[in-house]
Amino acid sequence: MKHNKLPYLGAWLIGLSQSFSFNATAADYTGGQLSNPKITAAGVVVPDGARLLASQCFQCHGTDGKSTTGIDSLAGESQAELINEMREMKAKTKADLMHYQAKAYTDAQIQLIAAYFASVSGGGTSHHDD
Amino acid sequence: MNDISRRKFLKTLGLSLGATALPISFAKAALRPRVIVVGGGFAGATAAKYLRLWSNNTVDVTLVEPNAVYYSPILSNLVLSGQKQLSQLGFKYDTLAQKYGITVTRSTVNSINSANRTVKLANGKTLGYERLILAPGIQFKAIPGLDETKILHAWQSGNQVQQLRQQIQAIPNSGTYVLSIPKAPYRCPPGPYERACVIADYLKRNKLGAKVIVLDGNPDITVERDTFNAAFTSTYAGIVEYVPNTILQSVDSAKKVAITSFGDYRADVLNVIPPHQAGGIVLNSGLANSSTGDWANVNPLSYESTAVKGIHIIGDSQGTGQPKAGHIANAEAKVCADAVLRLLSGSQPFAAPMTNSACYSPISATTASWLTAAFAYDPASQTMQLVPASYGASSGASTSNYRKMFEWANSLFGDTFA
Repeated sequence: MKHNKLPYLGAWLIGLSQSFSFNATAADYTGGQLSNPKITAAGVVVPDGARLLASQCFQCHGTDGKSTTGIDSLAGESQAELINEMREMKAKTKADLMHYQAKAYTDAQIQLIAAYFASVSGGGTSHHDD
Repeated sequence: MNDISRRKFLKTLGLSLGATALPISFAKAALRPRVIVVGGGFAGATAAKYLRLWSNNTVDVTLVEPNAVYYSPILSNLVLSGQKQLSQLGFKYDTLAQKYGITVTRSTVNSINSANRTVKLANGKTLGYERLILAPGIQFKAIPGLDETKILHAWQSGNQVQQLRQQIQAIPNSGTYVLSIPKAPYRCPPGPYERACVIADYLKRNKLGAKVIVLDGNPDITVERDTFNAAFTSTYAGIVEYVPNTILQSVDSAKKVAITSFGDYRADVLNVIPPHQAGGIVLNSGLANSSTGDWANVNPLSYESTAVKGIHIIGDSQGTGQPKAGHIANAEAKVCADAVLRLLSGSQPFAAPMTNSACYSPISATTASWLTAAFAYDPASQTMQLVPASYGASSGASTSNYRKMFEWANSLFGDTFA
């Protein structure tokens, strides 16, 4: 199995360098620690620190974003969709718990968090469809 | 390639690429790194779980906890009002042991030898560690005359909550329940006000003419002021009397009298939440080095003690100024676990951690409110700072929040104990 997948490593490493420019602002935020990225399922680049930032969502959205309650799962959502949702929530003024939480995060942090959840294979008993 | 084998493979790849230093430097050590976690509440259980999960089981984790079952203080006020059974809030450590391979040792730590990096347990064993994480929660400061067997705090859940439930059920019509709240910081900021509300709701429905008197050591309701003030003055008008700035000086435990800076309050049920400080092992090991001597100062990037190297303190005992509560204890534990794994591999903790707090409070048998905040590391002050825009509360209490409260709690329980 491993041998079948190894040729893709090169492609991922190219993708990795491309993604770094996309995450240029994140580099500042993480103290320049982006030298330690992870590449996981679906070939998404997960920069250093992304897992820890994303893990702050697990208390409500389940470990690795796989919800076991009626709260939405985040695992396997696309990075773009998660970023859009967080940006929408940041802009809202209605008293909603997630609207406040979203306001805590910079766009750079949101990109890191979204990259992590996009890298996790979907799962959980609850799924978010919109 | 099926999903499972791909995930497994990619996980390995992710480890070898992403955490290059991890297996290599671990391999240099003669033994696998050992981390001891002391205390199996929200902070300790989360740390133990994520140390195993995020190291891909390459670190040995021992959780030292005296109790076979942890009873969650979260939702425990619903036991007082009869809407939950205490057993529904109990969590065993079997899942953490079996699913994550954590060694669970039922004992307590008597002493720490930080030079040799060993702990001595009450069961006589000595355990060595590369990193030690202390999560002992809180202990209470003494109040003159307070006999804990008669005057309950019910602030660490478990048996005292069950006993307070029985005391409340026995309140006569026109009886009085008196609650003493300590000065902040105390565990679970909205908790005492929430307790006053659910007990008022119970008395309103079951005990004609009975009253709740809230003696608050603080100058005002500390959090969710609008919600709790509306509950006290409207929903429970004529039932709840709120008295701010009331410092408890002593207690007559036999006669159930609270002697305060504002005079004496006689109760049918007196419920005293004494002022808190860090757990005994933190105090006794010279780690409670905050200005008041009550809490452990830590580096919030790793939760490592500023007094002793190699020892980390998370949850209610630490003194970063973040709230003392289960949800954020889980958050701190993840920051600590991630940092400990990096430190074990010879690298530095993540430089910009975030944590968050969220909690729902029952206001009646059918309604609840919520409060939330996020904290960000501030490199200038080297502290965790509240992100002002993230601090908010529900506009009052609602039935939909009551339903969401259980989803929030069950999710948190799952992320911590399962």
